Amino acid sequence: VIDATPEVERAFKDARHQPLLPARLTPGSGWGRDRMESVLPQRGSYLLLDAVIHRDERARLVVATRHIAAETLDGHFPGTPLWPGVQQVEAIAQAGALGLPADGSDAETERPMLTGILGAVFLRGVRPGTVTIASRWFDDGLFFIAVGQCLQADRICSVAAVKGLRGEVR
Amino acid sequence: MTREEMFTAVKGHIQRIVEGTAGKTITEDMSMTDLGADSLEIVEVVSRSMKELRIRVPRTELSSAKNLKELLDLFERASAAAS
Repeated sequence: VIDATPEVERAFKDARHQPLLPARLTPGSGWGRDRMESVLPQRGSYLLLDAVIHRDERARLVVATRHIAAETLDGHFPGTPLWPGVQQVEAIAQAGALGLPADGSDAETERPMLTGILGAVFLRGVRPGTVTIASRWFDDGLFFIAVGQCLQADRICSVAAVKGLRGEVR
Repeated sequence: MTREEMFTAVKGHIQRIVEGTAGKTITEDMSMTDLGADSLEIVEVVSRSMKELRIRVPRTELSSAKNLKELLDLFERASAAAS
């Protein structure tokens, strides 16, 4: 992991071996696309999360899901459909940004923006089906750093640490 | 906190983050672009400076600062408002 604090380095290393998933989901913390779009600037197929199923502001942890349809992976790769790693990293960044404090007022918020990838490892291929994306964010002044995972059937498929500009209420 | 202390903090972060600025004379009329910083390095310098000085200026206001003098003006106003 480049340009990271010891806390982020530790979180990245731990995330390679331990799922970030909470023991149980927070009731009522689910967000659909409309709520996600009030925080994130991505729309349509570039919003890589279908729903938030857990959001804990104190733990700074977000867990989201995404259904990957086989036909969207046509060509990546022929006969062996796999979700591209860069999209996994983007999904982890989006989930991390959803954990930032936000008032949800669409017109008043400067949107979070990805500024760098500090590190990423791809441990197992992500196949068509449901993917769980878990992401925890760390404060870095005007920036945030998200360390997250993509999981399938509770197995860690990838881990990434990304940095972005925080959103901001004007 | 004096303006000089703020300037010292900002200069320190510029010299740590922006390549080729160590040992260079930095004055208030310079911009970070003049010193060779790219857009992310500028935000990084400002972010770390605010953290060290324990002040907060909204990103939307920061983008109006055209040189270090105007950045320090914003910092001074934020510091006065916080105290």
